[in-house]
Amino acid sequence: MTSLLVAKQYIKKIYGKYEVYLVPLLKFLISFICFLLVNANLGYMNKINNIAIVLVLALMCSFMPSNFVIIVAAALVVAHLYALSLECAIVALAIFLLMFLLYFRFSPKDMLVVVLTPICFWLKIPYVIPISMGLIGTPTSAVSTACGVIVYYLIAYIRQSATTLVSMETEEVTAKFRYLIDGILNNKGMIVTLVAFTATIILVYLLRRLSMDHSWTIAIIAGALVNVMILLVGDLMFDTNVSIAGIIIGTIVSAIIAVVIQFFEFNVDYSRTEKVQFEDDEYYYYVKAVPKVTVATPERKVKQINSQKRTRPSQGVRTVDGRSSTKK
Amino acid sequence: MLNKDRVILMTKMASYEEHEGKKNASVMNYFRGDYVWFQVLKSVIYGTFAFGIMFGMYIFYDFEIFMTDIYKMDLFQFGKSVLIKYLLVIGIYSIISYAIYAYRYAKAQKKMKLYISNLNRLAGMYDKT
Repeated sequence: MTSLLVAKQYIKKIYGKYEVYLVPLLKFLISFICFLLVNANLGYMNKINNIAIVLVLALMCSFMPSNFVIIVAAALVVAHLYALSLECAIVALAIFLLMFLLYFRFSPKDMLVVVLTPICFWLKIPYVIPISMGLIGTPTSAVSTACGVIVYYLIAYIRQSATTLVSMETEEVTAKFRYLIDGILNNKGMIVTLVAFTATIILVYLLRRLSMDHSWTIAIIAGALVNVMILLVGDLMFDTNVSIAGIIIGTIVSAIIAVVIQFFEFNVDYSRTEKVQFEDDEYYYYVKAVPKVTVATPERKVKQINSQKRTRPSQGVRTVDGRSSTKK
Repeated sequence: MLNKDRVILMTKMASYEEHEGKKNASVMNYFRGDYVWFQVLKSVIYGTFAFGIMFGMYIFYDFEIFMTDIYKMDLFQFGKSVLIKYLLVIGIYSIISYAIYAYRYAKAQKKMKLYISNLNRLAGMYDKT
């Protein structure tokens, strides 16, 4: 366990040192994966289904505020759907607009979850989102997660019914529209997932805030169990045709990832390195404030063993220890 | 001379100003009532747009039936029911946004008080030297 804590400390140190480069890099990676997935799943518009465009957009996102990625992703989705059929684009645009207008006005911090949820769905571990949002977020994260789930199921549904939509005649505008709306609203799999994720987030949040030992671990296990149970009961009741093994394995993997998140997040203040400038009457100050390391990393121990002399046993072993303060 | 405590306090305050401070200062430019009601008004406008989108989708969903029925139905009654739904949606949305922004204002006020007390402390430190 100590070596793990030390590893964590190293990672924190590296993060603090190279934060200026790491944050844009992470943003770039998330947006790159997200745009690639959008193109792979909905590559209907050939002009933007191009790795060069994805790269340029991802580079742009790495310098913009983190919420910019979701706007670009939404624009990409709408553009692809427009190439498929106008009705799809209208429905998707309406859903995105409703999300932006009604919810993201209040909580712009959570917006990244909307992008991460479909990515995790694609990685077959969507259950990591509700568990980790319960751990690091608030109950309102349930709404962001729900938006992410809706976006995923919207894209999945359109992709699945693309051939039907194309084969419908162009005159049947309202019929296409009705087909889409019906498909999205009556998607039982989506509704069961929404219920499961919301319940999981709230339960994990409530449990991890209890003042008892191992509350975070208990929260992760309970959240994973409730998630599996609701999904399985939903499958029995509504016949959602989910793969039971997939749910169980996905949840176990998600719980393990949540444990890793817990390890990095629990009780740790990720205060960043601050660079600030100010002045008073006498000086200009350019201060770089670096957060203190909480667990001392081991330094090399030098153990010097002299040749023993029986007559003077007190000189036998002399040990020179390195720093070993463990301030916590 | 450089004073260690003073530099630490000033660094903390500068870091606050850089991040939360800017947002809180823009909130504290208003009186509480003005801020909250302005935000609720914005919510009403956003909510109206959202309701418009939902209503448009609802009409378009059954567009043919709607167009054949439009001559038969009581338009006044229809308008009244739409208006009631609109008021209900906007009412609930406004209450939620009122609660959220009142809470945010209280939080910003608390932070601002702490910042001002730190400013006073800093002024005291300068007076001593």
